[in-house]
Amino acid sequence: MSAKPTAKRVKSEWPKHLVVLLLLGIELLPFYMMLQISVKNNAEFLNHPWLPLPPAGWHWSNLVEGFQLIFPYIANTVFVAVLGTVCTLFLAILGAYFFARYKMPFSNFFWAFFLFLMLMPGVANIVPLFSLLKSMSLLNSLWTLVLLAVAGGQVFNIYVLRNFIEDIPKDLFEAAEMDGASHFKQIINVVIPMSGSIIGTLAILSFIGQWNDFLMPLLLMRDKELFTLGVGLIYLDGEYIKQWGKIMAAFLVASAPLLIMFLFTMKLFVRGLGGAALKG
Amino acid sequence: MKWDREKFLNSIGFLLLAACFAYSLVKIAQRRSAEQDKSVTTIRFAHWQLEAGTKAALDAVAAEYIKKHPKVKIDQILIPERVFATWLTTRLVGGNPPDLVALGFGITDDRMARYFTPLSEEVVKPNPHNAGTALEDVPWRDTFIDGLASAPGLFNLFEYYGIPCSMVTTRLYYNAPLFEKVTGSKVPPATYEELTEVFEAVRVYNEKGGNLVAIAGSKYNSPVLMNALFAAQTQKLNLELDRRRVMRFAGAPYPAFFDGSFDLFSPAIRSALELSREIGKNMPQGFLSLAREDATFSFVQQRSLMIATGSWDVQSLRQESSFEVAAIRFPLPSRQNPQYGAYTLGPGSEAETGGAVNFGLTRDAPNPEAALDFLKYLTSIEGNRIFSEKSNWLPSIVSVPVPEAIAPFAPVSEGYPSGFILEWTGGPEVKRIYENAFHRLVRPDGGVDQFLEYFEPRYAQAMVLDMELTIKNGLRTLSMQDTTWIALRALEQGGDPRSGAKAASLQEVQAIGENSYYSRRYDLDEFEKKRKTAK
Amino acid sequence: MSRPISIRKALLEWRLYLFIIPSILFVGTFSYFPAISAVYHSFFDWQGGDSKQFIGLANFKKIGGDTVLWASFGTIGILVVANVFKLIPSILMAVLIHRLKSDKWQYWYRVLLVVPMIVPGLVTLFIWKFFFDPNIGVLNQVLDATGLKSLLVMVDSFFKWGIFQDGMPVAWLSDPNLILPSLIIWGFPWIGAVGVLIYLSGLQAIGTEIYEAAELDGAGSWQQFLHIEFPLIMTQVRLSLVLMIIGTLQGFGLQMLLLGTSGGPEGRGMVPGLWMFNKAFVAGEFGYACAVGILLFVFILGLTYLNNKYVRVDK
Repeated sequence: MSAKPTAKRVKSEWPKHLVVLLLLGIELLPFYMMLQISVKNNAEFLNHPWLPLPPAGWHWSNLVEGFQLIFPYIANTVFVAVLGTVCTLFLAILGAYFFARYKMPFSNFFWAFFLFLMLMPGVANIVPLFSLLKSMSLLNSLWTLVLLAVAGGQVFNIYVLRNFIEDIPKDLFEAAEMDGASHFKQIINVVIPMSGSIIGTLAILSFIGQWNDFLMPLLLMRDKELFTLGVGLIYLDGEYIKQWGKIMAAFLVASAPLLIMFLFTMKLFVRGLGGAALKG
Repeated sequence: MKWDREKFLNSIGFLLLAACFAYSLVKIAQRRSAEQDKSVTTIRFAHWQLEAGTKAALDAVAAEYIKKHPKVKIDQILIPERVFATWLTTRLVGGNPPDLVALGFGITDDRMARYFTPLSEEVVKPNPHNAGTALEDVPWRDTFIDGLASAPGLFNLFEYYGIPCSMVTTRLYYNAPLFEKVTGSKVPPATYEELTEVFEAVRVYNEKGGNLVAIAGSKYNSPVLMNALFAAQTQKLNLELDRRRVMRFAGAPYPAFFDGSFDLFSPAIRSALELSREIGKNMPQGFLSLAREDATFSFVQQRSLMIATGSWDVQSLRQESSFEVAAIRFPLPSRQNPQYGAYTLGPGSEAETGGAVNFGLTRDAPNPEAALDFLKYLTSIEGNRIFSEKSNWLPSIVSVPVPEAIAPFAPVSEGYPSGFILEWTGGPEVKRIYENAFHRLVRPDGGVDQFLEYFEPRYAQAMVLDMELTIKNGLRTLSMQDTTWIALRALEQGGDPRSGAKAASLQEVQAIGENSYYSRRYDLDEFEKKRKTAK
Repeated sequence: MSRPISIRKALLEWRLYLFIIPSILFVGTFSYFPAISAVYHSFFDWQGGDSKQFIGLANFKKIGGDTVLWASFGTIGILVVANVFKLIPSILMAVLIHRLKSDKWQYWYRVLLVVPMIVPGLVTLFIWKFFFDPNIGVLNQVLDATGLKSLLVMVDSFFKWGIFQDGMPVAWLSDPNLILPSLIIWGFPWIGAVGVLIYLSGLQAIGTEIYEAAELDGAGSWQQFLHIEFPLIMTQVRLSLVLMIIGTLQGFGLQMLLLGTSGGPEGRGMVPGLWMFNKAFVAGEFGYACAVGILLFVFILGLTYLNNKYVRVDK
């Protein structure tokens, strides 16, 4: 709950609001700029950089062209992000269940195996990883990105999920077991309903992470059709004479899927980040 | 109720996501099936020329080629300059490069030797796509305007690795209507003296309330003009120092420097530096911190009157500018110029203009024969003509007409041999100290003396380091060809006499190369000895 | 905690191991194996292909003389310190929002806060790059409009930097001297949504009685912050700090996208991670890059260990 002020305090609410709004305003400035530039062309932008044009003069063609610039990459990114998130969470739930359910022999060893990776900086891995993927003939393929997403997401997700599953009352599990449910069924019937919100939050975090990734796609992909969003944006940035209107429109399109998803799952997200993250 | 609404919204979100996912699956499946079609050969080529018109031109050439060879699909891969080296390295090391790659970023001699196929045998055969023209029986090499003399790899590796589809020259572009407005004349400057008058006119114009810069400058554009002027000042010096009698300073600076005949304080160098400084005064303040796009922007927005860049920018500048863009050769000081005339011979010849956009064939190419054939088409009279017309770039093939729009850019062969450029007399180390010294030259409170004060003491050491690097890399690259030689000999013993002939010629080439590097080594050692005794 | 299990039952439940095996395989192949491979290959002259040549400690000796690498450590040090300061606005924001009376406002502010996070980080980065543009960038326009530019020019002529001059647009990403400031300024006002939300949830644990008691004791708002709020979010702050330090030390994506793989003009923006990337994927010296990576790894691991050992916070 928020701090309840005394009678004296009521007056001094306004400064807080003001500061918060100011800071938020500056924070949101890039997006405001993105929105209002995306419908201008270069000349109009130079003349009025700050204020949006009246809707009548908006260049909708910018949006269309921006869309065309970026859309192929989005298709690839959606593929990798969705598949990556689904597979990661699937395996992570299984793994966390293993740790949370019973203290099986070697469980500590496995746990240390994972935990060590949380502390280990992965920076040195990129180079040999590339070579490994080459010898596995996994270069130039979107599936590789999915595999890497799964591998990379295990540690954090298992860590968070383990805590959650351990908090689920054991009787629920035992009841299910007595009904003859296999472990897998137990997961479906007990774990998932109870941990729905945290799984949702983790899914969103993982999805966003995949959406933003540019390093591995840059290194792995040869063909332009396989580029993901990150590489596509780098590509746009390399243009020689930039049509800022179209580029901002492309940025807008690049953000749109996430924004739409956010609009629909807003409550889940804000609540989940607030409460669940605390446990970490 | 609230629960329902939330669930409802959530489900819509996920449904949308599922829809997008399904769509992307479909697209990927489509792509897969297109690729699996074994009857279609896919040729991929990669480059970084993002300037306006190039991509479309290459697509046009590809389209024509496909009309003749229907079972072929041609993929153009455009990677921005910034990331080209990274992309190329990962592709070469990863073993899945495109068939043809533009040679430039990310390419060193040993990479060329290791990852690209030498085309020396191909270039002596006629180009089949020239059948029916005057060049029908001419070896492919000789159909090029410069005879492939500037092909990458030729100089150090003695093999032809790259085939150019264009040429480039540099010119001084100017804003024609604004020029007339500022100077009152339609005639552009032909000499440096006249250019000085233009500077004066700009100054007067600014006094009356204008805000114009004479020449748009940047780290990228300024050297284009300055180097041309520098080279003009060192024309006489160049001939004096030319040891190998090639009239081109390439490779010559080391011997001249190491035997002590090259003096940094000679009046020609001083004059050249002074000229650079003077030009720099007519560029925006702090131009060394600006990037190529900034200079272009300045010119296109009519904040500067002129800009120095290459023929590759013709299309881009014309498209972006709302005014008429014209171009002239760089106005050089004439011989009568009291300050600079003594060191110059006259307008430089552009006869040694080399090819640009050189494509190399990778060793790991999936379809080398098809790719090579496409490359031959691109550099045939017909293919090159299409490319040149559509992109407004200069052609690289003899007898291809130069499009009207870039007529001013066609290389002019008449003239005197160009001088040399101090920055390029060595290698990366010399470049580095030159860049650091250059600030001192063009700063408001700087000058030639400050420049030489910094540059001269470091120059000897830098030359030594660069020479060492050249020798080391050269010998290493040559040694990489040992494996090829062994393999060829093995094939010969297995009964293939052609391999024996190839091995013999490779051995000869290696011997020449090694010889040159060992003689450089000798020069370097002698120089070091002299330095040590002089101390 | 997970329930202990007897060996007999464990054997019956052997199928559970199947649940963990895939994860272990993935992590082992794609995280552990490359790490070991990096150590192995750092002793070789390896160009990334199949051929490599054992050269022992030569790579590490080369590191010793690599001035660019050591300079990059200097750069990253500065960036880490700057990032420590950049943690502060998030705390400030969390406290401000927390102290608001209305729950509804709190909720909406949290939503607004999350919006920048939803927009892909890359997009934000490129929009900031656009801000830095000398000619049409927002930053220069703000400086000109608010008169800060003239102020900077004055300060410049006093210190003789030669960076800010009248009539010349400030070249944020092209002037070697401005690279570090640009890297630090980026992301103003440096409010991280995740951080704020985490701090907020920590602050929510504070009961109202504590505030009332503090009021009675006559504590002002700053003291309330120091003695009540800050200690209670200390663990989260510490976690953020550790994560930030590790992230900054090994991060190079920001520099690569803003400045290119050579770290920008005169390489001022070069950081160790970027140098490793450059050596591997631009220069093609994979073996040397592995050695640099190992060095970085040991360095960060050491710092983390020290941090855990000596920076302890008691509740």
